[in-house]
Amino acid sequence: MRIDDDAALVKACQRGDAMGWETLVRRYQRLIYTIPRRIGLGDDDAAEVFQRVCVALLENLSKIEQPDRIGAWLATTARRESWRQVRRTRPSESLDQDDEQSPAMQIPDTALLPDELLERIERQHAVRRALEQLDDRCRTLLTLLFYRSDPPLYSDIASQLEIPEGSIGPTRARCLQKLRRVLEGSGA
Amino acid sequence: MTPITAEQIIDLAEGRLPPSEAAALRARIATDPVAQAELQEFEALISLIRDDDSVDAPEHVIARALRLMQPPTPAPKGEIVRRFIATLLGDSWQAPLAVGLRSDPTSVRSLTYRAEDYDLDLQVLPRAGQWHLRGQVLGPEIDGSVTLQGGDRTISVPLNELGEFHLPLVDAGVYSLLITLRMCEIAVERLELSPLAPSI
Repeated sequence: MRIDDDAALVKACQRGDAMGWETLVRRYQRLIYTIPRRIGLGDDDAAEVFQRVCVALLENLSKIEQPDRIGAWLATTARRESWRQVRRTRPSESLDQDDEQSPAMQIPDTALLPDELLERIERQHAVRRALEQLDDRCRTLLTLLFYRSDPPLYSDIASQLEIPEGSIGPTRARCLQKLRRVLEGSGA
Repeated sequence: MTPITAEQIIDLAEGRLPPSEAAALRARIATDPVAQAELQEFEALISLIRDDDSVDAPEHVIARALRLMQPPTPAPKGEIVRRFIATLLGDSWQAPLAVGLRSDPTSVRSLTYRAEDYDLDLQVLPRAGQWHLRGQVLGPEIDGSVTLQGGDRTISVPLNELGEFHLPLVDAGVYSLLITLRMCEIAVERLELSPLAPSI
């Protein structure tokens, strides 16, 4: 199942469509999981945050007011659940982490991940989604050039993509322009 | 003078040009508002991509979340489903308290049940006048679902691969809890969720 429109996907989930749920979870898994990791939580805590965010999503599917902004909702929820997980895992903390009225629960979760950083993670996720909509050649080229910490030589890229080395520069420019257009079209 | 091409702008944004060539191009771009805007956009886009250290969730973590919306596996046809009544073994609100302590109705209540080869750990958490129930089933098989029923409300959620479950918030009241597994059912027949619930 591939519904590019998030609002339609949320509606499918509201109907109990398991395929829609899988598409939605897989689409945003990276965004949800990255937030607790960025805050500094380990694998197990990040996994717990992931599950709690998904449970919250399931429980709130019918209440989400802007289904087309589900990514922002998930990011905010992941930040909040990460912060709660931090509170739970601090052994020195005696305050009840499950009590919403507790003074500790009133500390803003932005202290762990400021809004600007959260928005940057969301934009990075939007770029990855836009990249998925490009053709194979562009997606591979941009991934090799920009996502790898050690970008391969042009000659290696040329060999992998079976294109002349001299065309990598112009192809890269066209692919970045396409990527930008997809991002503009998505409103990101 | 030849117009500035997108490829030149992207070379500059990417940092591929030698310093002298980059400086010369920047000087030209500074006089061209359109090219300047293009450069800023590409620099921002490339920076976003290069700084992206996001990570995929492990597949088992994703699989656990996917199971949240999968219907429980029905019992194989022809098999007899046994039903067990869970027996309460422990209740943190009923436990003897240390000198100077008293039962705190705002704290988490932990309940332990036993039913044949299965253990059921329940945690009841007060939240703004409502109750959140979470728990874990431990036993020979944990593929199934949990159903909470009380008043006119029935809520079902699947067990995850660890036998854990989280139920949404419910009002105070008397409920029954049914764990439906492939080969048996485990029933907690009376579950009273209230700040003053002395017995369950």
